[in-house]
Amino acid sequence: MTPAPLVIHTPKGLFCPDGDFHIDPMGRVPRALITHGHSDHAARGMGTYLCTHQALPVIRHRLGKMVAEGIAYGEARQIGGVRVSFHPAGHVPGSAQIRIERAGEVWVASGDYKTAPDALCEPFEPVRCHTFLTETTFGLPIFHWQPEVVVMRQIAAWWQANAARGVASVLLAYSFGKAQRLMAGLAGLGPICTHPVVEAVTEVLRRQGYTLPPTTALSGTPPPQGALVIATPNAMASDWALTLGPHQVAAASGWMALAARRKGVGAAFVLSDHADWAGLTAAVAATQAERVYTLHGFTHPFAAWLRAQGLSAQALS
Amino acid sequence: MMRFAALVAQGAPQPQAFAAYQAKVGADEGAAALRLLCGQRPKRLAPPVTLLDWVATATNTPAFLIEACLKTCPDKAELAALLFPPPPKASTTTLTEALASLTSAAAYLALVHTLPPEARTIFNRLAGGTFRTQLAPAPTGPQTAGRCLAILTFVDPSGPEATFALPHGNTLVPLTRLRLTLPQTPALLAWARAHVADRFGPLRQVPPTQVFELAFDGITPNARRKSGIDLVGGRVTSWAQDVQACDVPPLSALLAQQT
Repeated sequence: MTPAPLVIHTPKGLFCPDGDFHIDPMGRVPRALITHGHSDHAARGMGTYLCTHQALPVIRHRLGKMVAEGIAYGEARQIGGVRVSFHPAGHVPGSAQIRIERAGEVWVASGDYKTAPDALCEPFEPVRCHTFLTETTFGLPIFHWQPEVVVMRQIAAWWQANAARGVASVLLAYSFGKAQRLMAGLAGLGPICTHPVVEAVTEVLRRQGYTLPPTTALSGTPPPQGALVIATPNAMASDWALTLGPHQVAAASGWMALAARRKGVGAAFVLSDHADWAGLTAAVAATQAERVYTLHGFTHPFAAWLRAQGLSAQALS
Repeated sequence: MMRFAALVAQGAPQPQAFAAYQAKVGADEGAAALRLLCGQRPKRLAPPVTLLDWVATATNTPAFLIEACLKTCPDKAELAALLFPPPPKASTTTLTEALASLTSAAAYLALVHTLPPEARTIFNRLAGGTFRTQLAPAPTGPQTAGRCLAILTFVDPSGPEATFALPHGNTLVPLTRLRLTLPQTPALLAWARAHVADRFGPLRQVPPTQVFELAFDGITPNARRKSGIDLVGGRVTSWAQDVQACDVPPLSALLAQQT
């Protein structure tokens, strides 16, 4: 008889019946295990939260009052009938894959992950398991990332060319993760300014001990000559953008690999916090999982590809 | 090829951008680029769907994944570019070298994956015959004035007007149709009457043996012309009876000098 699944897909998110907890739930639940602090994974309203020590400060900063507990990477904890541990996912600071074990059977929920290292976050660690629940945000063979240093060099060249013309360089990035990864990768090349929302998250990470270069929050003052300004796309749609003076705008995202997504931005850099096609396939292979469930993004083609490779694979969303 | 791809990345390049590009590349590449941007497309190697098939085979990408990719990236030239991983080292391939590889599937596949992705897409458009980018017409009006030699191909005695053409490969490409105002026009019409090769309404086709010197105020791209250009302010300045038709410089020479 097949044992009952360790994790099931429910309308509120992934649920572990034996441990009576949800992973990254989007509806109110009593007990939530959170892989990382992005808003599509860490939502308000849960009874209790459990996440890595490194992820907790940003989650508190964003969600406010909450009952939450931190756990070290690799630390095992018994929750109900299962043993649970968190392992680096390489996505953003503090991000984790969640390993669940019951009587020798191991399932891993990947959360969002990136296999290639970067200048900021804890590097991805593959975790062996029988069943792997993998994200597939970029699960098509058209997504191939360059090493981070190559992309940072491209961004630096764009920044320097703008600075030489006396124009500020505005980089659009998500306020947690990508923004700090950019400043870490571009440290020492010139003055870096931020939108206040970006600055607040950056300050939280700085206090945690992440090594980040000095930055200046801009609130109504123009950036200094030759500055790089890191801002969210929302900020550029607000009155705040009017104080920037002459500037060029660039986006840094994995989606910039597609010409259709590059339209409308001055410059585009292909830089993602998710695994590319090769990263996803390598991660699946490294788990040695016999069964794979896919969620987020290109779930169906990626599952079909895994089946063609002889694995048992199924799209969950 | 990378510089050319960068030049056309945002669509029709402005003449200043083209001049800056031309200053960086060799004369051959500059001339090749100008021909492309004036609508002179290379002979297509294969339709985009065939290029995509070749790339799918070369990258071991099954058909169901190609179908899924097309939903996200419907442009086959771009998809065929993105299926390869990034090249392991920086490419130094020139536009002329890239164009020279449009001879076979093997030559195409040997080159395409060595280019960076944006250059691959442009290369695929050239290979697939879907490259459409043209120089943006200069807003200040025509560019460089000049004179050229051209071969008489048709005469319309009712104008009187004449059509002139330039050699391009083994054929003649119509360049312009101009009013005949030379003092020798009666003699020319008499010659044409005596040498009619074919008739199309009022048009008399004549053997391509007579060479004329034309002057013009500028050249502007026009994709609807076989030559890819319009002569602005063209007029016939002389009947160059001392020049043989085989000595008339080809269309590419006219395009190359217009920068």
